[in-house]
Amino acid sequence: MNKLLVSTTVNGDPQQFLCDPDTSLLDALREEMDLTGSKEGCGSGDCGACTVVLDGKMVCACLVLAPEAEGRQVSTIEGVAEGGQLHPIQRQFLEHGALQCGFCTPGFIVASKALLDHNPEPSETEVRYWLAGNLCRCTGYDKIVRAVMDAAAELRQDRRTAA
Amino acid sequence: MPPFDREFFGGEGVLEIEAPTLLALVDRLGDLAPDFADQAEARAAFAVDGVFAPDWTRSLAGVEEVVLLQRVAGG
Amino acid sequence: MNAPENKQQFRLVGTRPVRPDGVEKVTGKAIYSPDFVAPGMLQGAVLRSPHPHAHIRGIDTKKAEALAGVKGVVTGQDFPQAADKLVAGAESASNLRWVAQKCMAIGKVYYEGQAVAAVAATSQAIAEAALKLIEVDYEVLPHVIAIEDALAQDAPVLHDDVFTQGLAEKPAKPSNASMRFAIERGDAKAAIAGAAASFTGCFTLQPVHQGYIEPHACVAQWQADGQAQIWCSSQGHFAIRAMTAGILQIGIADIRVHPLEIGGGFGGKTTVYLEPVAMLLSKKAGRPVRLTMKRTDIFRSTGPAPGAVIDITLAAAADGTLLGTEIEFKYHGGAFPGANEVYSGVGGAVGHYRVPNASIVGWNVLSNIPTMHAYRAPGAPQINFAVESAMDELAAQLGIDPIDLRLKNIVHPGEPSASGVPLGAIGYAEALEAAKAHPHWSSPVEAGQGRGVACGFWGNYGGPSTASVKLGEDGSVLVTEGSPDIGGSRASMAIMAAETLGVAYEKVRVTIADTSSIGFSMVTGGSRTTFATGKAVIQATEGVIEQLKDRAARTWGVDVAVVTWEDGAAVHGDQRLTLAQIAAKTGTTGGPISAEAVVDPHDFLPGFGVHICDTAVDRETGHVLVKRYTVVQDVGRAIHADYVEGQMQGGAVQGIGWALNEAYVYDRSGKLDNAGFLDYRMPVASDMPMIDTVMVEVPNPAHPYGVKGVGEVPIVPPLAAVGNAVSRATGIRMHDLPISPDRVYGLLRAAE
Repeated sequence: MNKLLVSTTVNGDPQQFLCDPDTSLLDALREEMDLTGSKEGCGSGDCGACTVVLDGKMVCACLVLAPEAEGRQVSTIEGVAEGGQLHPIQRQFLEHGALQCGFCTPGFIVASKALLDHNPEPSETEVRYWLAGNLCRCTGYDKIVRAVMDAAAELRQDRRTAA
Repeated sequence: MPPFDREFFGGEGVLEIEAPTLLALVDRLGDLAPDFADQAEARAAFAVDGVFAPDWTRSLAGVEEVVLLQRVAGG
Repeated sequence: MNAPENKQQFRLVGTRPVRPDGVEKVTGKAIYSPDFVAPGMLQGAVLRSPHPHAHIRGIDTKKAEALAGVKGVVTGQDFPQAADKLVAGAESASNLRWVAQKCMAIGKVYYEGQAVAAVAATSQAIAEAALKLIEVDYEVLPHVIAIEDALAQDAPVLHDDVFTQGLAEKPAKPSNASMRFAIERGDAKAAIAGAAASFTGCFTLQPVHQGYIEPHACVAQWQADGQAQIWCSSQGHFAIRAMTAGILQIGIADIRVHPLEIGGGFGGKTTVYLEPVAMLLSKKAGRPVRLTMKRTDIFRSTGPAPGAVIDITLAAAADGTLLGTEIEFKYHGGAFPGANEVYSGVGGAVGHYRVPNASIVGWNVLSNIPTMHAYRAPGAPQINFAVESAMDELAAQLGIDPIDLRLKNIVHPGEPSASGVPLGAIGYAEALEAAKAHPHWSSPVEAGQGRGVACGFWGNYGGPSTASVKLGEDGSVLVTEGSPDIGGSRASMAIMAAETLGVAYEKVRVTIADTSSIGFSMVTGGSRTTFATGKAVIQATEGVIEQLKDRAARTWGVDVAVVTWEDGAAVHGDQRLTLAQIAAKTGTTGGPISAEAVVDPHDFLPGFGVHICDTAVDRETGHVLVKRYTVVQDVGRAIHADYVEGQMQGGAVQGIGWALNEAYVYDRSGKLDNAGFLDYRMPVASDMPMIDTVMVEVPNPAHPYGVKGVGEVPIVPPLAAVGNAVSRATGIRMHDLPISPDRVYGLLRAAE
């Protein structure tokens, strides 16, 4: 079986990699591009630890075939902080102690950013339902939800200040 | 001293034993039940007059009661 | 909440600074088990049994070995014959004979999903293709799954050399009941017969999984000279070393285990499943080998917590005073003997109450499912569900407020614990009073809802830990320890070291070192790390302070006895040398400063929790929704408050999942029917309300900062708190977990 050459954009940078036709985007990110921030918790789209954004849409990277990334934009946890500057969601996770083991955290942060990118003022219920595809076994979700709500408030304040 | 009483000492719950240290006590118990001696280090814990005693070299001079306990695992 | 008489003031203890390992974890840079790569690494794959019970007549691996890219194949025949051998690496002993067979079947498979062969190859695809070429000749045997089935007269017996332990006389026939353990005091039968109120019921639970999101994974490299390295996450790399060395019969010093970041454990990562297999593959292949479990394999072959059948009678006088109890319970043991849950189930059943007459009997029952492994307060939640449900029934029968009924019967400091050892400075009464005073308890129950309350406790632990503290030339502080950080413990260690030294939190950096770089430390489990490893860190820090005072004394030409350490500086009269000033001069005052401490403390104290739960029940669908939840717990003293609250919230939600949704479901052929996160339904964010927490602080006088174990207690009460809430919402006692929609629907229809 010959490998396919895939040309894509990851976190704004051009990337080319070789993969088998049945390789998942998650495996390509982790094994071919050394982007191990996206985690595999289940491989079946049930835990959300591999959440990435593909052309603006939140997906489980384990359910996307790597060749599907051809010509598209992929955003991963590695692209959430800009340079050395943490994103407000990342900072709020730290300030709330919203992670214990931290394994699900990249998926939660990518999913939370996807939420706040299209809904800057979510209710607690909206946060909880948006994040219902991400499993966390450590925290009971309380501090995660609070961190996302506070990050949303902070981002709204930033936008008002900028405007 | 459950569960060791039934496992090794014929169901005897209280034993009168003279021993200068916990190590010596384990030896005496081993004389009564050789299988216990094999497993003591891995499974047994002692409370000396109501206080856990992880150091088996400690002196038992003046001690009234030693309780033999099963170690229990946590998560 | 806390008002100890000599209330100490702390600069850092109890605050909420950002954890030292935080940035790497929110940016995706932290390296967990499946992320680690070694140069020249091969990929491994494991073949697992499709049968729950079978003899292995033979395994033909020739075709797999011949496949291009395959570098090694391993079966049970490659394992050194493991006889009975106990090793203490975790808190309780493990018998290597059974641990080895949890890694690889040796001659017989005991559960679906047990490993039977493994392959290392140049790619994952080749390794998996090779598995399909391995031919296993099985002689399928009758299997048994459920507890009562395994005890039936005609049940298939798993082991012909396992006889029931703990009987007065050694039995003549082998049995699936591997152990009986009992506590008897007073005359329970007579006490119950004469009581004003009593409740009798049978409660059942199914096995549940710890559910950590990070899969088991490891990389092993076993060289030609016999030396080896393993990179993996675990709750204790010294336990990984001990078990791997024991199973493979190699020297402790020849294995160096590097701890990677751990993505959840909850007790389930205190043993080996993959490491010895990866080691054998590496030895054959001459290259490092990675093994990673798939989620289905994790459910099928790693440690669930026991299901249970519990018969209970609990009796009280008219004023609510508990008079006696008779309990007989059976816990799943899984495929191999040695599960510990029965001990804590018996000891913990009514250990939080004074019950003068008690007969408590527990049985460990083997069947063709994975061997039980520790899950957060192992063995306690199951029995607590029955006991706290019975307490709720007695409260209703007697017309007594359920918190008042408990206050009347709780154990107090100085009274004997279940083991007979007197209880120390516990804060159970304080926790109950705090629950009673909480606005949740006094708020009216909303229409259509029910409110439940339940208490629970866990004994906690201490045990061996090593830590070293070193000073940098610039006065910064390096703490090295051997306890994997599973939920923020680096932050707690840094707080305790900085508090003790009198320096800024940010001056302290914490490293979890490999097994060759720091002394033995027991697993991160048993709620022991902040307590025991914390003691080691504090002691090593005090050793550094002694050296700092000595340097200052010699600099000033005074006796060290007159030098004190205050706010990060040595002080004598009006002379003062800060830590940074002394550290800068170590080159001319005797060399670098460092100290190590090895501790093995056993002056830990148990923790007690009180949970309040409001549930709404949808009478059309049977769906139960948790509307409000409050966790009150005696935490000793919180070192990092966020991570203490986080333990309370996370434990409660795991318990809520156990109560409402989670269960192993086996089909008739003995195969696990729900081996994935879709069908094994753990709580998600939209299932939960905020989890309110109240940290009651009754410090442990044996710890410099008053620490008690926190992590395990909060999974104990939720099963009954939820069950009691649903029972009060529906008027029907919940006897069986999970309280899933189909079950509730059936009970509601039957009651109509």
